[in-house]
Amino acid sequence: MHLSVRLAGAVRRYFMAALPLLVASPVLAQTGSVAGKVVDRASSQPIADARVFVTGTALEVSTNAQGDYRLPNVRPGRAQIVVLRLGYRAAQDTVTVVAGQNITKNFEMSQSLTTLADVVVTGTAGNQERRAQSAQVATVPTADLVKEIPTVKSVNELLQSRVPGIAVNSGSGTAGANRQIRIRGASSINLSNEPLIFVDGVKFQRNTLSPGVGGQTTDLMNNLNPDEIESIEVVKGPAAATLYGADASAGVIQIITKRGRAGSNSFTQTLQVDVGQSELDWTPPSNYGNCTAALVAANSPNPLCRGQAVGTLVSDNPLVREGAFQKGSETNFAWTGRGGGQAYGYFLSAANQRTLGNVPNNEFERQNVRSNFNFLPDSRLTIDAGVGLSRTVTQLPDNDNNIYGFLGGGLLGSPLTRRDDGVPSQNGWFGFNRAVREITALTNKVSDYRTLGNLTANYVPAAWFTNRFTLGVDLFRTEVQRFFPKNSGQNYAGDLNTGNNTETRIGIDQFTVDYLGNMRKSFFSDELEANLSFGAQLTSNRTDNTFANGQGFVTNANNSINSASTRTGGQQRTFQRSIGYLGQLQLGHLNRRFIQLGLRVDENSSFGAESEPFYLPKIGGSWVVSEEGFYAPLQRLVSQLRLRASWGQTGRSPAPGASLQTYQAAPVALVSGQVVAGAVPLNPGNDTLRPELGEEFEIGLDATFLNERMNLEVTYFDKTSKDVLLQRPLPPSLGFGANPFVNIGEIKNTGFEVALSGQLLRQTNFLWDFRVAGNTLDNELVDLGGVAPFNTLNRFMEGQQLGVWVTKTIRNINEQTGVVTVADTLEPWGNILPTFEGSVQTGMTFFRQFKLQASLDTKQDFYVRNLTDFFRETQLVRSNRRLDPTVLTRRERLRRYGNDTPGQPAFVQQNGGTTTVDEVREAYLQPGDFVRLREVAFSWNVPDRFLRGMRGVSGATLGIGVQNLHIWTDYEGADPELLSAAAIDFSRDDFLTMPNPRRWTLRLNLNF
Amino acid sequence: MTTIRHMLTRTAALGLLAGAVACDSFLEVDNPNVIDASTIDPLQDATTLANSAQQNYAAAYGWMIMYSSWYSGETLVAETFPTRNEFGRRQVLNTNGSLTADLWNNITLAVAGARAVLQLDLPNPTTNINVARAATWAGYAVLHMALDFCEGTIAQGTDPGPRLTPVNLLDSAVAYFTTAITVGTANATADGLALARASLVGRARAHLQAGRKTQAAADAQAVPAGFVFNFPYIDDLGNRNRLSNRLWQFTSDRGSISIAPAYRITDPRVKFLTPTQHNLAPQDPSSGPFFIQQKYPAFNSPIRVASKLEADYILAETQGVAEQLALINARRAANQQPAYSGPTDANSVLTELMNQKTLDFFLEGRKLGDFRRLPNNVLNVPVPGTPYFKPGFPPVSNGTCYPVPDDETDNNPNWTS
Repeated sequence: MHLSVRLAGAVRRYFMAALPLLVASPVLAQTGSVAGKVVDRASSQPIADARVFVTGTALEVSTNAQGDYRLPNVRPGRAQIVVLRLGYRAAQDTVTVVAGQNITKNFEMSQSLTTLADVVVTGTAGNQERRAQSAQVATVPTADLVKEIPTVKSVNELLQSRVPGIAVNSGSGTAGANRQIRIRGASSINLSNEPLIFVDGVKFQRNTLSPGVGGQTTDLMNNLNPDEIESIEVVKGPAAATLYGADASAGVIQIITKRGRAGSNSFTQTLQVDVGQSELDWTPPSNYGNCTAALVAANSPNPLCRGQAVGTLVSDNPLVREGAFQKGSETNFAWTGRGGGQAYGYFLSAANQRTLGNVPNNEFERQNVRSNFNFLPDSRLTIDAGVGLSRTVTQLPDNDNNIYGFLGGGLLGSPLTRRDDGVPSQNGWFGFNRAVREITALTNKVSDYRTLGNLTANYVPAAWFTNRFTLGVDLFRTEVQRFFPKNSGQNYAGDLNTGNNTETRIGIDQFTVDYLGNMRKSFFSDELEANLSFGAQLTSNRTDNTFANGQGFVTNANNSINSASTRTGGQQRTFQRSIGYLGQLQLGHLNRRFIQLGLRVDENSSFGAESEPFYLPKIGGSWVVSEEGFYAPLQRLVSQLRLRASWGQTGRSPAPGASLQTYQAAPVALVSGQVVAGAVPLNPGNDTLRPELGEEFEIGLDATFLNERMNLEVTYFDKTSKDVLLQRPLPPSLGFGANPFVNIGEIKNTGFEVALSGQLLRQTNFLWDFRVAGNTLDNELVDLGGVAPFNTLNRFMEGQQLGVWVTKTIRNINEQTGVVTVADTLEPWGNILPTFEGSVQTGMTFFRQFKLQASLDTKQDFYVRNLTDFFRETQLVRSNRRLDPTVLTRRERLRRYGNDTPGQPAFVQQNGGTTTVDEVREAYLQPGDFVRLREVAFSWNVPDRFLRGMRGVSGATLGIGVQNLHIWTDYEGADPELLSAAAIDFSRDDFLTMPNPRRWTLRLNLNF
Repeated sequence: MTTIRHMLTRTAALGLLAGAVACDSFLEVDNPNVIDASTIDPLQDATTLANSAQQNYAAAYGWMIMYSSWYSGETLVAETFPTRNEFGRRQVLNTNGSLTADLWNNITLAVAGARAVLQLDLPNPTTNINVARAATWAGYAVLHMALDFCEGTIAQGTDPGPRLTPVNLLDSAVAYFTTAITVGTANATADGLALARASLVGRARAHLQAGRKTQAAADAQAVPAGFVFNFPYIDDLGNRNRLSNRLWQFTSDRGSISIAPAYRITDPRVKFLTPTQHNLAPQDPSSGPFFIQQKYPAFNSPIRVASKLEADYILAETQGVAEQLALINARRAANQQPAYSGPTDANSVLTELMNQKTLDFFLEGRKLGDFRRLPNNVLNVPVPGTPYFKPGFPPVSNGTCYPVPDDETDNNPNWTS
């Protein structure tokens, strides 16, 4: 019987049994309430945003800016109140609630780096204390970062260099462009290595979109406003991500938005205003050329060569000459309102961000509105409802692998084409009659409209039984426009000059339905606790893509497709649905020894018809050693120590339709001129297609020492992808247009992650904290299942990193004869994934008012293909390295360009064959190792005395931040972080890509 | 509050119940942007598949002409792609991405698509027009593979095919053409006869390339006077890669093809515009003055595939000096050229015959095959060891054909074993 049917029956039976319990609730007794203030024990300062909850109920509220909280609808009797706040030791106490009365209970919290009492919601069935978690789930304290570091403007920047094991690549200095996120390396060859994203438990579509500008794409993560986010939790690999099912092997990122302050009877507002600037810390190289006889003549139109000797080396820098680069600017306005009434809370936000990039047609604009509402009708039921709306408009410039871009136009131009007689020409640029004005005139606009909605009900019919229902939608619409304006100057190619407009409309509807039940029972006088979780998750994704192209317009203003003389269009649609069932049993002994056993079963519409359901088990344990009796003598050295180990499996689902044998529509032009339908084979299909299987073992420890001033996290992970979904290369002669997915091969990622954080100095008026983190990565393609190595640049071959750079390695350079001997075959040259990444963050707080923070990060042991220099030196000879024989040594010239003796082949293979720089590319595969001073930020919490004259203002913070202050690197190009094709998994080309600019931001935060 | 809670819990429970009941159909989805093979009936849809096979070759034909025009010196590579400049330098590496994507994938699709039709159990196979059509274009695709590639292969159904020499390929092409001639003639419709005649020309070319002059001459003589078979192309903005004239596409849209200096001549068969006569720009300004071809001045310009004129050249090549001179002078006269006045030894006349053929079939993809067959008589091919016309590149190499790309050789067990 089909598994879905069997499980459907089981679910039906469960609910029939549970229904009486769910619906037959007793009549509510009269309730009381608990209120109080939470303050810092050392400074007596109020602590905002602390979570306060009553154990065994659904009641949870948070403190306001004054540290006040109020828990309504508490049932009479004894109630345990728990207070949690990141950076503080958990506080708890028991109160006796009397019906109709308000109990006051204040808490003092001590600063601590201990994290064992923190509660995480990701990677686990229900909220779970970190002490019980067998696999590491990292938490990024987003709200604090946004407040203190003005240059943080996106979710990607929130993640950059904050968590070991998460690599965020700033692949371009283009405003609004995509950033690549990798967690614990790359574990798939043909499927995405991007992590799954959830927002408040609802699956979030993170595509990248591009109008086709040559490299950069937009990033749907940019739809999110960081100011709406309370925290981000990151599940790094299968060991923790099992419960997310057959699509989570690249990790899971859970974004948790801010909530209202139920019970507070208050309303507070914050206003944030940013202004900023950005500037390229880079001067593009000049273009060179040797003057010809015609160009040096007295009547030559070339002002550089006219009157010079033949062969004179002249140079030009059109980007600098015409001022193509500009200072960018940033403005950001954000408002939030937060408060609540007797039994409800709300969070409201509105924001507008606008960034102008460093070339004239690069702009990013975002408007966000969010409304989160939480309702506590009684102690058994809470309801959270949230709606986030966003509009994002990104104007991407042409660049990267693109002759219409500023960098392509400027860096590939020739000084020999300069003219001062007004005759249309290249005039030093690459394109004919295409300089700053004509490049700027190109429109590449991506407009996203997004609605994120979630409705979550937590129902606790009894202290031992909790239920969580989540319904969520992610409705996404985008409009993409690429427009070449009509012109008479032949600025672009061919018929594009008549005006060409491509409009694309993409709609993605994604639904998430999630249920999670949890039963908790203690045995043997509370020595043993069993915690049984079970649930189901349904997701559905429908993607519609419609495009139209029009060519030939009367005027540029009238550029709708209907106005074009020639029109064409297309449409496609995909569906994907999945269903997963999960169960987990956690056994805890004395609240310090924990074992978890879990299982998820998945089915997906993309699996092959013959494919079995996908079973994903997990097992893990956590042991708080420092709470054992035998540990007491060690408490002085290491006050808290936890050991953890976990093993689990997840997967990666194939794309919709991947299992089918398919044809592709391919029209036919008959001799009569008529066009009729045709079809060509596309994919031979695979009936047995199933997900990739990600399997991970991780082991680690968390320790706190030096009087709780230092916290250390060490994790070793060993992640293996089996049944890798590989598009097995077929010989093209079989006639299929696409290679079929097969489950084959094995990929391994192993590494250590270490994070040490602490307080170097803690005095009344001075606090110096720091965090040092690093991770290693050993990525290896272990087994290709008999498939021959493939790809000729970023190659997939056993025993090497995925996408390893290959070249015909130089064996010998004979400077006398000029003969350069190279290998016969392509050989591995270097990694594209860094094998070490690290970061250092430090902050100093003075007089509780001033905070100075700095962040430095590094990536080591990887190579970048400097394709910009390759083109400038070997294809279009523009570089003085090539043209001025005195710049490089003879040996280096031979290494880069091969034998320059007339009539001789550039490179000779050991077997006597000849080859070219297209295969001997080691000079352009350059080490990308770098250390970057990523952020420096200074903030000042304005003292109250300065605010007295400002009516209604209860607090203010003034900050200034700088991003990308300096980079140390031996890389020869503009920026080793660049990825000219950021959306492609295995590529690290720097090809006419905008470097990351230096950005300054001044920020004012006002609280009302 | 109690009412609200009850309502919510009941709704949630019922909702989950309903969801559970619907589970078994939940995973059934439609993906309308691919054609599920199970929905195609090979017999009922045979005409669609045969027409598709014809278009596969029509699309491949444009690519093959363009690349061979660079390789054989008809045109210059006026663009920056390193992989395309390898063709201009006659040094095509087996790792060349353009070789795979533009040439090998397209010509092998043409072969495989046509063979798939021939393997169907079609009704009336001796007169079925779909058989004639598929056999014709299978023949041409295999022939073109033999003419331009150093080796080749023909898939055997769903299994990769053996490694084949050009002679093997020519023999296969002959077999396909023979089928097409037989079935097309028996079909006797205008369509069938046109395919049969096109196949006669193709078979003559295959025999000639294989050195079987007698058979080549016989086939060439059988082609009726005035016969021409053109591939139609259309100006469809949305289907340029499959339905439009590739030569114009790469002239106007990309600026990739510039007439080589040797062909910037006054002859109506080599139509071009000088840089002052048009306003297009080459994609790569380093490629010098942009002389654009005008043989195909539009996206919908047809390209000749087979003709009595080609049969005449094939026949003349199999004959003696007198017949060759007769054709030479006829062609010169027809194109406003003075009569041939050069040496009349056999080699010189053959060289002039090839020169006239090159002009008559300029940008029709014949020159590379002729050069491989008669390397001393086909002129204006880039000379090995001479500097490439653009600075910075290695000199012209001595290749005479394209290697089979490693995408094929790495994955075809008949190569790797």
